[in-house]
Amino acid sequence: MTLAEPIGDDPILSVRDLHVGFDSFDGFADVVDGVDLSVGRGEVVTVAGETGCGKSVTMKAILRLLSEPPAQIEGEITFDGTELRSLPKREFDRLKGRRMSLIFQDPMSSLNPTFTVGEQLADTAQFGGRSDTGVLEYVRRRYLGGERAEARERAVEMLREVQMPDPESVMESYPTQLSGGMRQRVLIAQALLNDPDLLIADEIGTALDVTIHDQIMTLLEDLIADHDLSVLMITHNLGVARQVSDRIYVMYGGRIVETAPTAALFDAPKHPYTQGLVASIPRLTGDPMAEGIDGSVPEYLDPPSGCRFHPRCPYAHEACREHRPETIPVGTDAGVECVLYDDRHDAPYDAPTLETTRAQMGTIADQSQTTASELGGD
Amino acid sequence: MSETLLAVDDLEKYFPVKSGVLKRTTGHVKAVDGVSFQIDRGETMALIGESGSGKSTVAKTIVGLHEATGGTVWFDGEDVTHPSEEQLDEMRDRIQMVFQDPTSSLNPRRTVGTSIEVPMQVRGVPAPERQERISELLDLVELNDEYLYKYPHELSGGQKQRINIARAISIEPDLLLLDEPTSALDVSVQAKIIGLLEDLQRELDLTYLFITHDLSLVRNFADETAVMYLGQIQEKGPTREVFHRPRHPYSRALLSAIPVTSEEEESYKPRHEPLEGEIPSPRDVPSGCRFRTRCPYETATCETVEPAFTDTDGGPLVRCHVYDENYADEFDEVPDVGATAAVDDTSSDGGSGQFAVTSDGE
Repeated sequence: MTLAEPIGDDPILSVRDLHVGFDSFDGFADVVDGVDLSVGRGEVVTVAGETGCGKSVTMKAILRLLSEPPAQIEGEITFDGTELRSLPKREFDRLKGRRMSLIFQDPMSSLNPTFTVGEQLADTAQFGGRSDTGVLEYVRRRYLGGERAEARERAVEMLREVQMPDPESVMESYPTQLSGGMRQRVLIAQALLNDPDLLIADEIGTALDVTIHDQIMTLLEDLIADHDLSVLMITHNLGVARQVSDRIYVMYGGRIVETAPTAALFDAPKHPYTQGLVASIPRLTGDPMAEGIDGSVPEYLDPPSGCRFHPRCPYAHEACREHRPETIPVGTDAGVECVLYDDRHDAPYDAPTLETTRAQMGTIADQSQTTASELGGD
Repeated sequence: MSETLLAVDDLEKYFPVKSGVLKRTTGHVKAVDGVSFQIDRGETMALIGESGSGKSTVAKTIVGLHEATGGTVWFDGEDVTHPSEEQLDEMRDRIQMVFQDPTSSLNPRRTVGTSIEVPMQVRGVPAPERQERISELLDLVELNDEYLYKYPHELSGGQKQRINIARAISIEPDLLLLDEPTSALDVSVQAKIIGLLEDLQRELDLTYLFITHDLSLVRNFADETAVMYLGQIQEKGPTREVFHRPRHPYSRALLSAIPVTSEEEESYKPRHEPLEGEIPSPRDVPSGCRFRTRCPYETATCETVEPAFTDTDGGPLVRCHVYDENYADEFDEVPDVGATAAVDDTSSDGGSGQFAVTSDGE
């Protein structure tokens, strides 16, 4: 169960066979089920998937943001050659503060409303990754000497770099006084302050208006190039994924069902889920929009057997119910977890293309294919 | 089909800003500032805009959740701007709303059946008839009787939104105001809901006012599109026209900012022109053209004179000085491809058009 990995021998981040489950009153929720992914140096990688596919849990497991228990995490997470799972907390914090940065989805709740932006940025610049700073040392570095002034200067510079209008006055503002777009810029500045190697961005800009989102994405693209960042991005928006990333992992039901370089993924998506997802996006061409995927995302307490997508898959057959499909390599740099592409079967199945799936799903302009009884819900 | 169901004429909604010890009115938030449009029976009109553009306030003012400051709302030939009790009663029978957040618009302590029943109860539908109707409605929204005794927390977002739609159509309204009905949903579910809304429109002869921030969603869905910015409609016309040749710089920016999934679609977008800055506060609307502070084409006239609606080339109505004067050529250059496609589109509605051949690399 190893995906064909396009990345050389030395990825900056590599995740092997990650399992994350949660104990709950209703039983054990098997949320992430054997995820393999890697981010090459200087590569922008996106994990795309809909609500509840496990993408944020994967990210949180990588960054140790899940408390164990209730979470149960297994697998191997390597950052630049260091195994993270066995690393002592203190060293992990240092790594997280200095070399890995994180941008959260919600620009409001990620900033502390009771401190000015300047204080928060300067703290990050001075104490990022130093969870072990003692009180005395904190007071000394915070209030004595020129270190604080230097940190603030760096913060202003960084705000300027993220094209913040009037950075000096933003330094003195509280987060509530800023607009959503400006807060998002503050978060980006904060993430880049310590010059990280790896940036993890969770649904960046999702809460923003289209035109502001556009500005932020353009800015991010520039910054990624300028700082030579490796990026692991998480998004539900395939259009955004296409805009910025080199390679995409598509997640469904806690598993990675397909991975491919961006262009290949959109030219010829292979997994029926990826095809359905792409076909569901409203199109600007004026072509009719496909009617969406039947059914709803799996229950993690009792996930479907075999391929987790099979209850919703128009091409499912017996084999899909019985066991989890293997990952079939496609060329050297892509892979798909679907039996339709497994040519070791006696009679290889006909693999669907995006167009056949589009037709299969029925389009809104063409109602004849939809029968109300078939559709249980979402 | 050309009977006008809803007409909004120069609608204004100002919210007073009070300050000081005496709470004196010191200014106004002009949430809606002179909006006019009309929707014919059985048609869909899309109202597009970013947050703060006043699009939801328009809907709320129409149904009487806000009282209009100025202008008139005509519903089925009757002036309902300041409705009497009687009129309000009738309007509530005939206009229903579906809101953005499917969860918060359902009572968590009511079963699905009860939620759908309440509007009919209020309207005095007899009990046995109600039960029958609930099953019918669940069927209409592509659910079934199994859902009758479920609570909202047992449902997915898409299912909840279906219940909200069922509830809204339970008393057979003429007009549905859909306020971002799919924004909280995933794309695969969003497509389903849009499909459902189209089916219902055809079956029940519904009229829609569809409010959204997502331009790409209305491309196939709406007959007319109006683009709002800071309380005012900036461009308004047949959806096909607005898409294939957006005239207002703001519509162009909105359209060009949509992240798409194929090269083919990229060619349907106007040239990428990121807007500067952010939407100004509606408390302090810029003089002249209210879009000028973010417009890449700003001229001296824009600062002083507020542009009126013009239809320079017989297309959609546009509020823009620049489009009038000398930039028409520059605006022309972009959606050449779209123009051909739109023509193609007219001949065979829903056909994949000539570009399907090159699409998706298949």
